Amino acid sequence: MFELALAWLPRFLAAAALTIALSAAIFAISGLVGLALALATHETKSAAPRRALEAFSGLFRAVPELVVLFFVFFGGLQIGLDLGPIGATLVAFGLVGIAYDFQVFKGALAAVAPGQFEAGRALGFGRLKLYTIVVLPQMLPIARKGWLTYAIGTVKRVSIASAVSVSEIMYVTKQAIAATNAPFLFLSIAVALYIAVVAPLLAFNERRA
Amino acid sequence: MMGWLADPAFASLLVRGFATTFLLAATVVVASNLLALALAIYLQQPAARLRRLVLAYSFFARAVPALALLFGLYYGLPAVGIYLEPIPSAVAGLVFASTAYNLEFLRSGFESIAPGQREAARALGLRPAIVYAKVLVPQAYASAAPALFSNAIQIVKGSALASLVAVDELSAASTTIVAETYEAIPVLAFVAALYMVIAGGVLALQYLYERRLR
Repeated sequence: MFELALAWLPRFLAAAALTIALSAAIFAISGLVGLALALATHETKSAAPRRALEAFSGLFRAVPELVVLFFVFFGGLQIGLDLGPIGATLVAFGLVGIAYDFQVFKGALAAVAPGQFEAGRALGFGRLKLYTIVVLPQMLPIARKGWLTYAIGTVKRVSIASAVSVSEIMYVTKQAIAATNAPFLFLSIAVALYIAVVAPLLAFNERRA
Repeated sequence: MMGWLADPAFASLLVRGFATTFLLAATVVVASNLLALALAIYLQQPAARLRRLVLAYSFFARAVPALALLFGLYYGLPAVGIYLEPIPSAVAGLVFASTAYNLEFLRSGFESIAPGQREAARALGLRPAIVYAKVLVPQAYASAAPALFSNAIQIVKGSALASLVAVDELSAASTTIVAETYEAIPVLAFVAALYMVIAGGVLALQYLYERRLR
């Protein structure tokens, strides 16, 4: 049994590396775009773009990630756009992540006292300076918990990409079980890898700030 | 483009898939909320001897993907001679995963109650069961409700994972139809709309609950 585990270990480690890399990329895409969209809607006076964004965000938060992933992967193929499993995973989870992070940052922006904006403007700060010096340092700590909670979930959600044969942890687990018929061994390895990655993040997010 | 919808075989797949998803999600929401409430009340007891065990469960269930739990039951149980049907097996895995989240929300709900509330209820001579039923539980829910409702939507979405362990729910129906028609975009958009109907139902319940609170 030990030899079996050892033989599969390199594939599991590569799978864990892929899970981490995909999660990091999705974290970056959804954080940056979600923040940019939240700031942009805060700045704009017109209601139409805000409504469109809320509809986008509501849609992608209500539909299962698996369905979004199939939509991007198979829908892409239907219109002749072959993103590949990894490309489709990044696009699908990126869109869902943007939908969540937009809400997190929108909430955090709303929690910054209006007087802060007025004070910044009264000091003659331009928009860039207002946001980088006054607003962001106040809103990011407010957003931190919700933002990280979602990001930690992303590490686990990437397991869904096994459905389009991305060779992350769950996909390799399934392959190993099919090849060797030793489910407990490989599920234990998978669970150990997830705990090794997620537990420190959970503990970090739950410590009393 | 929507011609497949007129095919009675596909239509009945979708109807059965929708019904399965609805019942699966509803069962998991109800079971995980009841279990989480029982565990949250248990953790409130100073004499809770299994506190560490419950907390370790909660941490484990939140650190591991629901899909790993579903695979564990799907591949693992037969290996030890237990054969469960796909649906009960999926219910067990999803309840195991979602109870932990609901437990955390209720735990912070209970912790947000001012200590004076419990003391005042005791001082009135209320029995412990009444203190919980009439004083503490309603207040814990008042603050935990938004998180519990959004977790209910997560459960509806999470039920799609059951399609990966042989449950013929809505997502499984969609992949079957896509495989036969190659109409991925309209089929999956239609299925997404059906999921939104269920999510919309949860939001409607939340609205009714919050209106009653006011």
